[in-house]
Amino acid sequence: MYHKIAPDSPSMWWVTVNNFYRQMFELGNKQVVYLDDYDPKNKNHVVITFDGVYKNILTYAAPVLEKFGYPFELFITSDYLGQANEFDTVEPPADFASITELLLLQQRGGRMQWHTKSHPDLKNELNTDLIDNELSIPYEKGYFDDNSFKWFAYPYGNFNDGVVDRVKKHFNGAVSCNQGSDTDFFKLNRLTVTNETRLSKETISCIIPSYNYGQFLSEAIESVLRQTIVPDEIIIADDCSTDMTGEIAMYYKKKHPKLISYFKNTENMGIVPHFNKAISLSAGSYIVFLGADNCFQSNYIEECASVLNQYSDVGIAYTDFLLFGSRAKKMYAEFKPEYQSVVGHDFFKIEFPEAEDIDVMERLKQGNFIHGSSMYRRSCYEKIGGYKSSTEEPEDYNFFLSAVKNGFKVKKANNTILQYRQHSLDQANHSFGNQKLVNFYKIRVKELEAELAFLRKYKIVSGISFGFKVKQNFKKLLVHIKKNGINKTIDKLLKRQF
Amino acid sequence: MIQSKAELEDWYGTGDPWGYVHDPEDIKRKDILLNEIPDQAFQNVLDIGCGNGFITQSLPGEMIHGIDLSGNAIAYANLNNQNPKITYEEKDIFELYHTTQQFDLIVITGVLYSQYIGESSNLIFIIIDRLLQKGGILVAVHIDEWYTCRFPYNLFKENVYPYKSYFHRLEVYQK
Repeated sequence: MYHKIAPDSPSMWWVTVNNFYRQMFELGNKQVVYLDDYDPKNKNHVVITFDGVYKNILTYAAPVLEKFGYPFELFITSDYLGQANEFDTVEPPADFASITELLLLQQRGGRMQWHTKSHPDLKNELNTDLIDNELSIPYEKGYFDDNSFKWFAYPYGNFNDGVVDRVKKHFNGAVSCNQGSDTDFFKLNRLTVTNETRLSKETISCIIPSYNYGQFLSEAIESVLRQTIVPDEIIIADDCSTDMTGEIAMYYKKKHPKLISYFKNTENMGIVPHFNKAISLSAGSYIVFLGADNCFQSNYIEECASVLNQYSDVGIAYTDFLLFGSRAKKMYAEFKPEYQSVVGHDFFKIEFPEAEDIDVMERLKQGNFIHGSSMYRRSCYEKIGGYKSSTEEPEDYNFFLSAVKNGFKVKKANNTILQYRQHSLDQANHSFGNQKLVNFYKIRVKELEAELAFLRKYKIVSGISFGFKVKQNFKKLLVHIKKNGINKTIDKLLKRQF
Repeated sequence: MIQSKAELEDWYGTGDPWGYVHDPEDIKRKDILLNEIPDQAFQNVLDIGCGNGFITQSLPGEMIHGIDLSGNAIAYANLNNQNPKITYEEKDIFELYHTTQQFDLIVITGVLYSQYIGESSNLIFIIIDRLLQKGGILVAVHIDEWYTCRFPYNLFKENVYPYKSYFHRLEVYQK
C-alpha cells in the first residue's frame, strides 16, 4: 500500500521516486496481479495499491509502473477528488487526482476501487444508513470501466463486524492495513510501504578485483556507484597491488562506509584464489565481478539482476560488451565475424547470441561467450565449488563451462552493456595521459584543500590555541564568569576577545 | 528540499540571474560544450533546463526546442530569440513524459541536482529514453560535486574541467 510518490519525502507517507523504482525492481521475481486475480495462497502474488488517490501517482508512479508493466489498484475517496488535502493538517500539502487524471491512470493500467466518500473512521460506526451511504458509488455505470469498484479499502484500515457485513453486500472483497488477516477476502491485510521497505530477499554483491589497475579503478568504482540500482555491497579486492589501488579504494570506502569495503592481500595470490577469497567475504545472493579496468553501463546491475529475478531457473546473466581502449580495434577483429556488431565512436560492439537460439554447451565448447562480469547466483558458485585453476582455459570460461555442465541455465540481459577496456601492458603501467585518473585527482585535491581550510579554522577557535589562551587568562576568565555568567564568557572566548 | 516554482520564478525575474552572458567562465564552458557535441547534422534538438537560452541559442540543428520550468526564464529567452529554428516552452521535466516527438540530440545542463529533482533520477531516465531516438546523442553537463547519477547509455566521452569554484563533468552518450 502506497499513498504518495514524489521526488522528495517530507513524511513517512511519501516514498521517493527512486525508492519506488527500486521496490518495483525488487518485485521482479513476483507476479503482480489485480485484486480480482489475487490468490492469497500463491506466495508469488503481489497487488500494488494506492490510497487517496493523489495526483503525484499520475506524475511520478504511473511512468515507472508502465516501464515495469505492472497492473495497480486505486482506492479513491470521492469527496476530495481534484482538491488539496487541506483537511489533513499533519501532512504536507498534496493534491488529489481529478476525474480526468483518474481516467488517465485507468488508461495506464490502474483500476478504480472504493475508499468511501469522506474517509470516516468506521471502527465504531453502527449506523447502517451512514455506512451504506459511504459505500455507495456516486458515478453512473460506464463512467469508469467495467472492472471498477469491485473492491473496498477501509479508511485507516479500521472496521467492525457490522461494517464488514455491509461491505459484503456492495463489493467482492475488501482490504485493511493490519487489523485484518492474510486469507479473509473481506479483511485482507496490506503492507504500508515506506522508503526503507525492501520487497525482495535477494541482495547483490559487486566485487572489483584490482592488481595494479589503480589508474582505472576510480572510473570502475564510479560506474558502480552511479547505477540505477546500486548493489548492496561493493568489495574492492586488492591482490597486493604496489600502485595507488589502496589509496583510491580507501578514499571511496571513507566516502561510502556502509556500502564499500576493501581488503588487501599481504602477498599476490593470483586470480583464482583471490576471486574465491573475495567471494568468501561477500554476502549477496547475486554476485558480479567488475574488472578494475572495465566499466558498467549505469543500468548493468539492474538489467542483469532483473534476469535472475525473473527467471528462477537461470543461474547466470550475461551481456554484450563494448571494446574500447588502445587495442580495441585489434581485439574486435579477432572475434568471430557473427559476434562483430557495431563500430562507432571508438567503441566496438561485440554482440553475443541469445541462449534460447543456440545449443549453449556446443557453442561454449567452441569458445566463451559468457564474459567474466556476468552476474550469477551464489548457489551456482557453491554448486561448482568456486573458481578453479586450469592450464587450458581462463578461470571464468572454466567456471561458466562447469556451471552449464551442472545444469544451470544462462540468459542474456539485453539493453545494457559492459565496457571492456583493451589496453596494452605498456599503457597499463603508464599513468600519464589517463584523463579519468587525472579527473579523480583534480577532485581529490579540491576536497583536500577544503578539508585543510576546515582544519585551520577549527584550530583557531578550539584545540591547542584555545587551551593555551584559557590557561594564560585563567584568572581573568574566572572573574568574567563570576560577573557575566558562563555563556557570555564562552561567546567572548569564541570571538577571541580575551 | 526541492526549490519551489515560486522561488525559481523570483530568481529568474531578472533575465540573467546567474550572470552567464558576460562571465568568462560561462563563455568558456559554453565553448567546451559546443566543441564536444559530435560533428554531425542534427534534425531535432532538445535543451532541457534551458534557462534564458544561453546555451540553446548556439546549439546546432534544424529544429531546436528549449524547455525550462521557469516562465520568467522562458519569457526572457523568447525576448532575445531572433532565430526561427529555435522555440522555447515553459515545461516541467516530468511533463515531458507525454511528449511524443523524438530527438536526435538532447542537451541537459545543470538539471540533475537534488535541489531540482530530489530523488527521481530513474524516472528522468525513463522520460529521456522516450524522447531520445535510437543512436541519438545525449550531452549532460553538471557540477560534479552535486551530480550523482549517470545515464543508462554508452558513455563515450567525458570531460572534467574547473568551473568557478567547482568542477564540471561533461558527458557524451549515445543511445
